[in-house]
Amino acid sequence: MRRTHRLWAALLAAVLLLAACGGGERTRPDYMLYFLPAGEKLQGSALDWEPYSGGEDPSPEDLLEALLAGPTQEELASPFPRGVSLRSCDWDEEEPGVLQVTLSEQYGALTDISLTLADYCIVLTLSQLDGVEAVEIRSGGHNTGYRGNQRLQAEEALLWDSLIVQQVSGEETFS
Amino acid sequence: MAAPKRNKVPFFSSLQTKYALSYLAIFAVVLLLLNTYPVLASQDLLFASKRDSLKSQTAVMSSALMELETLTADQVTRVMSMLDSMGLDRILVTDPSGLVLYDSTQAESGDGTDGEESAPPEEEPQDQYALYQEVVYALEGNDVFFSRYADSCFISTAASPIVYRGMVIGSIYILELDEAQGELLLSLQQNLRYISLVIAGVTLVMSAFFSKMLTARIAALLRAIRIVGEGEYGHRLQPVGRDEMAQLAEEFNHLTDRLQTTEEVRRRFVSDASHELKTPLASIRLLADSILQTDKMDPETVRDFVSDIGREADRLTRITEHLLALTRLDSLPAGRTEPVDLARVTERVLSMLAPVADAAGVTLESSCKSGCVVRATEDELYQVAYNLVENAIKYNFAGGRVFLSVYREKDQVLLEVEDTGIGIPEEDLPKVFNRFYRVDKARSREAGGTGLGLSIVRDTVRRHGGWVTARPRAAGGSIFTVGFPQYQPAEEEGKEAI
Repeated sequence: MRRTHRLWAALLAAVLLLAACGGGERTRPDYMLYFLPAGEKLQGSALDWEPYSGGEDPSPEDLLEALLAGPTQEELASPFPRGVSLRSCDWDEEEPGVLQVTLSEQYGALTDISLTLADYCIVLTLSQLDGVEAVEIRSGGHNTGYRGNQRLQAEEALLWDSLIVQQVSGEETFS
Repeated sequence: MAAPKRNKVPFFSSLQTKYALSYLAIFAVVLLLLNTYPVLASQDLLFASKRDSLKSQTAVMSSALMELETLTADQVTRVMSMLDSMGLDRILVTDPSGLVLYDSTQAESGDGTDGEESAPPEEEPQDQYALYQEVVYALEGNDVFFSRYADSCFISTAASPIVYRGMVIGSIYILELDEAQGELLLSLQQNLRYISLVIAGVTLVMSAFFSKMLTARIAALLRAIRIVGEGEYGHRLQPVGRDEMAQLAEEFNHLTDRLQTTEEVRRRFVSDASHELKTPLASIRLLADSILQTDKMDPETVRDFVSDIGREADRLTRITEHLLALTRLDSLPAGRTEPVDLARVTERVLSMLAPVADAAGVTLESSCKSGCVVRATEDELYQVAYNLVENAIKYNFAGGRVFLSVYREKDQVLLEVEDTGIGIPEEDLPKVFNRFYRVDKARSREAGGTGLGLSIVRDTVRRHGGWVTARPRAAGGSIFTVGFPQYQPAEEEGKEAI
């Protein structure tokens, strides 16, 4: 009889635990580092994030260094080629709000969608900082020629199909 | 006798709960299958149908767009305007970097075909990049399809690369939100849920009813066993139906019948035996007291008293011997049997009892046929014949006659003892084989009877598959007939061979 009670108690605990786990949702930290999902994900956003684990008020350089160091979580992958490093990160003197990021030459190996993904990992990460409205990314001191617009903004990145978000959550917008 | 302690059966250990839970468990599995399998199967069918449909649509659009060497927003918009949107909610065309060149939702809102002035669009960036997994996979050269069912809607996306001369020049992404099919599936789910609820309710009631019905009969049997266990042997069950429980009730009744009979016989036997043993003991005590307490008793009277004490002691010995014989018949298995000629055994009995008959003035006559062989032990057959002939002599008149015959009738061997004695009243005939039963007690004791001789005859005869009857003789006296199955040598050999 006592054994039966124990079994019921264990079953109840398991159900409660599953319920608790099932309802979990990631809370957004103050700063996020954007990377690529590592698994075989077929649908949804092509970018994912992990929390920035540095200080409370990071500088753009701090965020960029953390980004280039790669993700700490196994479910994420870095969009940057091996050996990419930060050369400089300065505010545009003529246009306030524009951050000019210069990376090493290895960044220039990226093209097409790989470049876009890497670009917006940087842009979305840096745009969390106050005052950052746009980001210009250079490779070895040169603009990437085949990029139509050199000044990249976070709003340009469509991470979710708004119609799907609207259908699932009933919300008009999704950020 | 104290009633045995009865523990109350715990709720979850009771048979009723177990039966009810078994029914419920079975139906729960059935309901679970009913609520999952059809829905999942329908979902899979719809997913497959959507995959084929969306893939073919992306293929059509992709082939239309691959005519363009390079993709520009204007060219793509021109081509797409010529294609039917085919009920899709969104169509996106991107260049190799994921830049959106065409978005059907923006194209539609910009048309203003209904003539109404549309609200000014929110400030949107000039360039937009579709950073969807589907687009990324498509730009890597793969066809992608994904569909899921959420909030009563099928959300399906598909993407394909646009390839020109082996080069990926862009991708096409389509989205379909199918609420109609979703509603259909939801209504199927709801209907199944309602049906399941009804079935669950009915099952709950039925399982309670059936388990109660089944266990009620077990409970009745348990109650009956307890009642009989407390000594009320007359309690019986009423079998209902023809199932195993009814058979169990019938078996219980048979068992109780036998128990009741055995108990009655035991009580009567103990009572009779006590009484029979007490009588000679009381006589012995009385005679001994008389000798002890009477001064100067003349030797002749003392001799008479001592002689009476000896006679009573002999009676006690006979009673105890007969009781032992009956106990042996009750408890011990039959000894090693053999073919015995009944005629030969009865001749021995007659020669043994001839002096007794002479002393009583009774004539013994016999007629024994040859070949009357039965399978038994010779000693037991001797005892049967001896008891019957001795009784016939004892309860006869001086000058009376005892006629003994052994003969065959069909497949039986019969032993018949006929006397011209005092006879047995009709109403006493069924009881004469009972232990300690005497028709005339005074005469029986006087004749040295114990009231057990005929019981021994009956038990011995039955032990060898035979029977015994008593009936009055028309001209006065009684006839006792004993029947045994005739020994069949061929049959016996056949059995041995088998």
